[in-house]
Amino acid sequence: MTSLKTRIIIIIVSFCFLLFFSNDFGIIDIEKTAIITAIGIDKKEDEYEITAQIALPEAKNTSAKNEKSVISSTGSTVSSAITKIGSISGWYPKLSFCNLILINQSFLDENIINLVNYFTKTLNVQDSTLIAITEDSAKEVLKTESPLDDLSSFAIQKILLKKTGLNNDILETDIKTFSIGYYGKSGYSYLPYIKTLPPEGEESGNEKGGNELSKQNASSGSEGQSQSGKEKQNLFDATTTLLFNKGKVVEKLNKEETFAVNLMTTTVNYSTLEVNDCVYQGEHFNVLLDVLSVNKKISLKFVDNKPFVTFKLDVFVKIDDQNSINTDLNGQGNSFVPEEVCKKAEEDLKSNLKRVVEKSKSGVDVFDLIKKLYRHHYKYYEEYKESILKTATYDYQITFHGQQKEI
Amino acid sequence: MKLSKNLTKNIETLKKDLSSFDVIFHDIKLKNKKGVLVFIDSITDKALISKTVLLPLSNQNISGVKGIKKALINAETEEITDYDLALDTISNGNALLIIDGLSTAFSLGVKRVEKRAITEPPTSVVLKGPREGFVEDITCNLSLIRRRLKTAKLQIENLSIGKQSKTTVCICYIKGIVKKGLPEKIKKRLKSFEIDAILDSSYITRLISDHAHSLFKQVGTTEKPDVLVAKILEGRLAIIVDGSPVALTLPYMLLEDFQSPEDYYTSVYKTNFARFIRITSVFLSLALPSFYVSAQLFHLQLIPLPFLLTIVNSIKGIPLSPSLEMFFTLLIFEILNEASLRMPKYVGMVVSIVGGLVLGETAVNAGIISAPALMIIALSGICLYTVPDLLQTFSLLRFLFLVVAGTLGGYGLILGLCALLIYMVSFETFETPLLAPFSPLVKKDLKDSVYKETLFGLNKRPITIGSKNKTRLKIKEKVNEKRTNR
Amino acid sequence: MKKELTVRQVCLFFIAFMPVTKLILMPSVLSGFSEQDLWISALLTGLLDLLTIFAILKLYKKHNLSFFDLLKVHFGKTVKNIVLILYFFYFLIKGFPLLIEQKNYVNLTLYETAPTILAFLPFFFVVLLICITKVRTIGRLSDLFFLITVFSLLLVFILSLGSLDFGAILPIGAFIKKVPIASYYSLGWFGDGVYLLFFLGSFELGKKGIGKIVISYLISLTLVILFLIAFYLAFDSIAHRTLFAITDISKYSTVINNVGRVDYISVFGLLLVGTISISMPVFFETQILMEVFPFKKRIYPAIIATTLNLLLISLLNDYSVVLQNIIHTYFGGLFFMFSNLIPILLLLLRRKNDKPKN
Repeated sequence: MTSLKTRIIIIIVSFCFLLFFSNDFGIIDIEKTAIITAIGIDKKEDEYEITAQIALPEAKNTSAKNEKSVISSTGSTVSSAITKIGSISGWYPKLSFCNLILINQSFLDENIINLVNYFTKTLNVQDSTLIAITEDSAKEVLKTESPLDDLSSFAIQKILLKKTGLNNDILETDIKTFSIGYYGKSGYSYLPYIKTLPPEGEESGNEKGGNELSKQNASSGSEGQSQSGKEKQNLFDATTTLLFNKGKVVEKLNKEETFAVNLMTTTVNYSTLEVNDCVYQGEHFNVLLDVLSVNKKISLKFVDNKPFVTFKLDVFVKIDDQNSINTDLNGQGNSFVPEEVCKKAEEDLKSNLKRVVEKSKSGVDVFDLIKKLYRHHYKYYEEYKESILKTATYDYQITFHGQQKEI
Repeated sequence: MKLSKNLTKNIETLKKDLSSFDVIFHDIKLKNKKGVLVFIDSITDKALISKTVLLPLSNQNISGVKGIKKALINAETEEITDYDLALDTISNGNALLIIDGLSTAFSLGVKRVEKRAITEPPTSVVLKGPREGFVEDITCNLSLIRRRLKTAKLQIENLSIGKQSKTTVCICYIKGIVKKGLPEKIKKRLKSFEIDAILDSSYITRLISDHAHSLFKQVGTTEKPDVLVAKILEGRLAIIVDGSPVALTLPYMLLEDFQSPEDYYTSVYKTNFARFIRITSVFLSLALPSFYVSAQLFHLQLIPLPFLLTIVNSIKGIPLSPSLEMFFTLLIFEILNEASLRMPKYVGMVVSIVGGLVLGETAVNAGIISAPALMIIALSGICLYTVPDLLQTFSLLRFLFLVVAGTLGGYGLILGLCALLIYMVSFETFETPLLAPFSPLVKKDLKDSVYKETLFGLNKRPITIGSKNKTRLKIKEKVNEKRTNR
Repeated sequence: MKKELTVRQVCLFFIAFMPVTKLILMPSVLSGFSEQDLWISALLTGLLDLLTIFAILKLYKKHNLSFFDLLKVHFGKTVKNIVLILYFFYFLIKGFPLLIEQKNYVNLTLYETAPTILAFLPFFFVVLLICITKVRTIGRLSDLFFLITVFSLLLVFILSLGSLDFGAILPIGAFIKKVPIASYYSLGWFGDGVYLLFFLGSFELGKKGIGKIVISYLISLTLVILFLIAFYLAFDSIAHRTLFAITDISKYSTVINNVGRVDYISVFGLLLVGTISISMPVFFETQILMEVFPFKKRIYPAIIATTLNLLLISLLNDYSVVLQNIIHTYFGGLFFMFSNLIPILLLLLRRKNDKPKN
């Protein structure tokens, strides 16, 4: 019997060797693959125009600089357009490394899940891929040169990923989070809205004010700093957030409102907060506060069978910069935060939160109240699942803490 | 055939059988009889012959067997009546004294053995611990063992194997400690074949193994007497072959190869770290080339994007496919390895420099192979040298896994590993599983496996080996109250 | 005579091989029915298996006979052979969806750009190798592989920890009405107690044997349930849309952003264990063929059983997903009968001192 075993083994090993040395049995190896780093989706008449940004590393150079190639194709479905990219380029489109999906705003009148679903169904795309809506065509955004990275998709990722930057005025979303929200009890999900900022010297046109004190973050600051001698480069702004209910846009949050939501719902690190028009000892001035730590809680209670929502927020701050000429303030060092400044910051934040709450009443469960209702107050779920956002009583307990005593 | 009483007849027959030029027939004249001393010039100590044989016989009036025996002051004098035995005695390097009128001849131990000095074995160099190594001379090797085991229970059984070579093979074990029935089983196996010659202990390895075609070792080997004694004390049996500096130990487990002699002479922390390094290195050595190839061919998603871009950068323009590139790089590594082993030392250095630096650097610059492939092969090659005893088996397995990875990818590797593990767990030598104490799991024996306990923790002999006497360390009297590690 | 297995190996067999088959598709299917209560469904089916295991162990203690001898002693050779052949077909049906599941998982998650057949065909070579080996080898593999299972699952738990929404499991019991339906569907993945029936006679139960084996099964059930909970905490409302739980659950870890898909270490580890785990039905098919037909060497029934499974997979490849659904939807009763009911009913047999009837 040993001989039979030996024969089987010899046949298998020979077969392996044959395949190994011929190396031609339909596999698509690294050299036949296009490493797609981002996908852009635009509308072209009735079809989908898919733009793929492909990383093209420079031969014999292991430096960080990577060239890119942007290829577009159209198709009646997302998948057919992506497949066409393969036939146009001659490479197999590998989506495993696609970390960003940009969708043009022209799709906002449709249910956005129709687009996202393709990416959730296919196992070739990671669920952790970021998604965003673009003001300009996604194709143009992907073609844009950015000073942040050689690949514009990497530049946008740097802005969107909270882990890598100081972007507390941006709400990031990936395929998984968006889908969980869409298929969740409230049907609420959100997407950042990306605007391409014009290069320095050109008309700005964005809604950002020109506050000189602002410690500008990567998303909106230092436009075109490294442009000298290079072709024009753009930066991106993603501080506007679109709120969706069942895949349809319902509301929009501006930068301040996005920041307020971030402060209330996510972990905020290394953040700064602008407080304008503070009054201390009769003088009006602007302050930039460093957020040291945040204690937050959104609680949903039922009092007399009526929903009662409390936003409790304790923000510990110190002054990062201010434009006061007051010697008391200037002589105390940054740890001293006058009570007046804290009060003003509380008022600003409260009004921002209130605006968000008002917007949420149109059906977007920004603060996961419906989720809380389902998970922790299941007996009220059926009764309030549709109305809780509108009928709940909201209470805001926002306190800013800084060193109050003068030294 | 018996020896004749007639001296002339005996000498004539012997001259016919021993016709070599270095066989000396030295005539001796006794009081009233003639005699001839037969020996082989090249392997006998002539000074010893003069001192212990010729001088006593010439000075006294001797007659009769008893008289002659009394006169000879050689410590290894033996009476021989059988002709074939007489021939063997001479071939072994002893002298044969034949007296006219006597059918009994005298075998005299005057063997001269050329032996090299005891040195540190090149394959198991240690920083701490004994540096003595076995040599080719079996008596010297036995003396090294005896010096470490001064007990009457040490049994050394002598066998002569090889139809032509008549090689002395010794089986050593300690009575009461050795695995029950093992010496008898080994002796039975050793006697069960007839072979021309045993030129090295590896012949014995092949002859007593259960699985002739196995890729894995079935017998443990060592060149160090301290290691051999430690293994004997664990309940194993040792086989020492004349002419070979490599002693064999039985039964064998794969784990032995991960245990370095130095592990028992340094701190447990260092030992445990070293063992972790060895196990990881062997795994890396086996897995790195195959994993790299399978990731490039089948599973790009497993490589982080920045590293992937570096790979893509480096493989641009390489004429070979990833699998063939790795295969040929590995082949070149093995060729260089083989060449550097065979070449004289001073040329070997040149080969290392030319092979390692010039060939590698030039091949990368010329765009024949990529830098990551070269780096992976180099790392894989170095890793395997952390456990030199597994070099042969695992360098072959590395090739096999590479072919599987290039053909079937990551799942193929898993299946290959699965098949290998199935084979290994069912593999036994002398009723001892190869993968013990991991499979089957022997909890108490794990104390000296991946993790090594302190000396007090290793107070029992390994259960897997099956020694009759289980305890090897007993605390007679508690002298240090603070000692906790038992 | 020394038995082929020890009680420890039987215990480790359950810890090593029982959880892996339940981590690929089952979480998604169960969450489709009972959403966040999926773990309750699994717990119910698991407890049914536990009861079966307890019954089988009691049976062994009572008769101290192997399953084959037990059937022979009480019903004679003919009935024994008929029952065994029925079990042969049961194993064929039980193994089919598991093989398909593994095949699809391997092809879709690991072989995006390679020919399908290439990836899974060699699997049957390993199955053949397992079928040729003796029960003793399975025991020894359990000794080795339980570490891989435990390590891989721990790695999955640790990596997924950061992306879990711990409230997602609430409210407990909201889908309690659908729990039994999900449990019914899970019968195809469970039913591991029946393996123990075929191990009878290969090990000495000893004094605390029953307790040890029951506890080991509870440990493996706990691992499965913890995984199901972690799965739902990670995927919440899209759990039923997430087909291959094990690949997806831990990929959101920040570690992965820095060093690549380290979570694949556990995926590969579980695939390694899974190879043995899904080969077990084929292994027992070989045992049955060996017992029923007068084969002299084990390799012949092993080749027959392996080839039969290979043919089934190859010929029904195009209908595999449909068949998989049909088996899980309509064959729950069959699974219950062969995996649970028959072993429990065997406990009713009275003890006989006779030797097996010829």
